[in-house]
Amino acid sequence: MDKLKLALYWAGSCGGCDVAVLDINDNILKLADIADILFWPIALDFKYTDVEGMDDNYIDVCLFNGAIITSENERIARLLRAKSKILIAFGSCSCFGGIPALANFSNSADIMNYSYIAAPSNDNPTGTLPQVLTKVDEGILELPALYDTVRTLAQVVPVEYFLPGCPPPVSLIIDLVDKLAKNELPAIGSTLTPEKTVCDECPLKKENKCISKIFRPHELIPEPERCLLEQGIICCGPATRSGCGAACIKAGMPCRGCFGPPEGITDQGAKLVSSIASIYDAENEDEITRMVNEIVDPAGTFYRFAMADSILRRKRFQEKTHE
Amino acid sequence: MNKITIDPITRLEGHGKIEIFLTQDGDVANAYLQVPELRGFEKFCQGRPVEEMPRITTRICGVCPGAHHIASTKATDAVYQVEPTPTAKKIRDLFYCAHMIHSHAAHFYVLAAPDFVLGPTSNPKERNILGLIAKLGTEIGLEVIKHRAFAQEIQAVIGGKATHPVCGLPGGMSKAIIEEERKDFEEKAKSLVDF
Repeated sequence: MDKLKLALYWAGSCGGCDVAVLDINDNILKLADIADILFWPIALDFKYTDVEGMDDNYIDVCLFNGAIITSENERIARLLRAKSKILIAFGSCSCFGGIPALANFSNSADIMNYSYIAAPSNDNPTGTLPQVLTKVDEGILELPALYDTVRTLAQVVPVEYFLPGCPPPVSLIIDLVDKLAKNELPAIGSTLTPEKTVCDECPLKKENKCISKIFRPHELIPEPERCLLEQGIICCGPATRSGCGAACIKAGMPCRGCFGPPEGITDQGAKLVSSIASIYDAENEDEITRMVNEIVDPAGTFYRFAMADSILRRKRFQEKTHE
Repeated sequence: MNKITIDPITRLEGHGKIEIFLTQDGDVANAYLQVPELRGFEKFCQGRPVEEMPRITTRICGVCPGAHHIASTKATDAVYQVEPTPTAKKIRDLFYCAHMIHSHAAHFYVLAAPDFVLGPTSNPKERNILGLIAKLGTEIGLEVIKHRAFAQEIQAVIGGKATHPVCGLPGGMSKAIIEEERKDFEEKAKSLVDF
């Protein structure tokens, strides 16, 4: 059998997904046995021009991590889509927007202004901002445009498979490599993880108790073997797809939802609101209001990783006032 | 003016592009490094709970999430004006030492060493970690892989995940380590020192 032609790319990302691929350790040699890697910016020296020179569908499988934040992210997503038979959204940013999609609570102008001018650590008296085109003595320099709204990969191009996780766990990556080697990928459109929720994998005991007060993670030393949510600590496990083995919870911290919604759920935040509301022990409307107010930053918590993929998609733009 | 474009720059964490402008004689007139990315952590961390910062800022960089995690955790100590317990400080230090070892091993062997061992004039298709292992032999390659993995495993046990850890809280850590884990860390650490 010919070796698979593989590409790996990072769009709006942190590099953690690429490190996760290195974390398959000696399996990386197995990957090199079954595949020629034709593009992988963190580790190999191929350039965009190398990819542009390939025929369409020349790449068998492309693992694409990172969200679509800039015009460059979109251009490379379209380029790799055209060149790849199978495109896999790899990691939570590419599947759901991930942490970068918290920018959807803001917009590009406010982000630029704060990051380059207003933030206290800046020293930028002339208020210089990055420009798409900058004229210098020798010619023109070009930067990509920063979009107002962070998007998922599938919101930009068709995607065959999804492997979420921030980053995807090593076991699921090794599983993917095995499936590639044996040519045993599941039905197009599948998410390459178990289909249940983090709660189904969680070792903590649920006692079906209701809660009357919300605690922030540092406000309470939880009883070690009891469900965090039932102790009043917001945990996103009930609305989050399994596959991580409840890694954060085993380290004593509540789930923040990086695997996105479980099978059949379109909006992770809405599902969480319903899960949490169902265990509220409140006598009257005032108590409900008090407990709702005890949740700090509900939108940023319930949509921590899936803002771009939610029904909300982004914070509403402020309406322009017409005179 | 003639121009050489290096896009993307490779074997580092982050996005970059280099434009080199040439004179008619082919000399370098000027060169520009551009960073074609911005996610806006400075802005979108606003409005998020302070105790969540150690879990959000890790995503600034997936090669050095441990550094961002510990820095943010220390910032939460400062916000609440709490001093971590001596045990928590030791566990944080242990975590951070393991993080430094992973991060330096990843940087040296995967990102930088191909330039030194294979050289800048080598075939760009082979100037990488796989080319490095092909040149030095699988045995050395596996030693490197094994030891970077040791550092990742220590971080994962303490932090929940090596990339991206979750254990830092204002004034302490979310998880203690047990004697069995301590013994395992000690063995791995000794092997790392020899390595």
